[in-house]
Amino acid sequence: MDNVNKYLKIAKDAVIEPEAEIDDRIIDRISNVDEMDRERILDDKFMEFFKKNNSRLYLMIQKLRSHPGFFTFLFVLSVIIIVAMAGFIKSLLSGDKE
Amino acid sequence: MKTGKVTAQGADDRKLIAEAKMGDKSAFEGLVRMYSKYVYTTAFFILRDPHEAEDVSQEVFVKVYLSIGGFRGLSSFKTWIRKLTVNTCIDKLRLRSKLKDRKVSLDRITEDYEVVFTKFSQSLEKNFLRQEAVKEVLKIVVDMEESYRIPLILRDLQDYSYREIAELTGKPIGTVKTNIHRARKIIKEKLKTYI
Repeated sequence: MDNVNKYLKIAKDAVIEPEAEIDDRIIDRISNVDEMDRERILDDKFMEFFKKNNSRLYLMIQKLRSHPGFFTFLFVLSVIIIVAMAGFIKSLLSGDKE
Repeated sequence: MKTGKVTAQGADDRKLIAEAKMGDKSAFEGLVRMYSKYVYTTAFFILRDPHEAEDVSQEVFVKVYLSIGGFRGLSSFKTWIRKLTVNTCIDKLRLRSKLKDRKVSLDRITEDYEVVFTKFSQSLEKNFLRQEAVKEVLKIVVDMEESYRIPLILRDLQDYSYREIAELTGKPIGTVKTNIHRARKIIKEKLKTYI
């Protein structure tokens, strides 16, 4: 499976060359956008997508839900570091008193 | 399939986005030229139809053009345009399945498409066999049936999480994982006969 994964990784950087140059046709299409397009294309579904992707909270929740293991690891690591630092400071303070 | 080469897109798109947000049309055209092939490729792999892939490309860029003023840049522009493209393609697939148009789309797969590599590493350029193997992998992916092809493309080519794929396709995460595993296995088996 290693080779397959390697090839798929390289394939991420591959693009299909359209038969004819589509850039000009896209630009031409954009130049002819009218009010009807605005109503038809910017429908409720798109607006919901747009709102969600412009929300910091939504994007953060998505990240958390997509990588729960990583964030749990980070949380546990932070707790360990805080406990270790608290213990270290406590031992320093008790050393000073002695 | 023919071979070509594209120089790496090192240019920073942030300036173009900022200018496009201010209504600079030439800056937006720059964004179109920078991302059109990426959008087209994503749509082509999902839909397997060059005409539909172009329609989706146009639709995606019109959506971006009409809404870029409100784009806050919380995720990268590429991530935003990728999600928009994938969502638009999935909508098209749903429409197709409603119209029971799957057979028609299978017949319309084109064999004559040109694959080019955007980050053409030296080792890949030197290694003709590896290049050909990658093209063969893409051909196998394009030929796969939808239930394997879509999750594999989203996971391995578009970096979606299993959960995101499950939500998009409306399938349980377990099914998504199984289908991706099977899809990779199919590639492995077919590559054996190719090599």
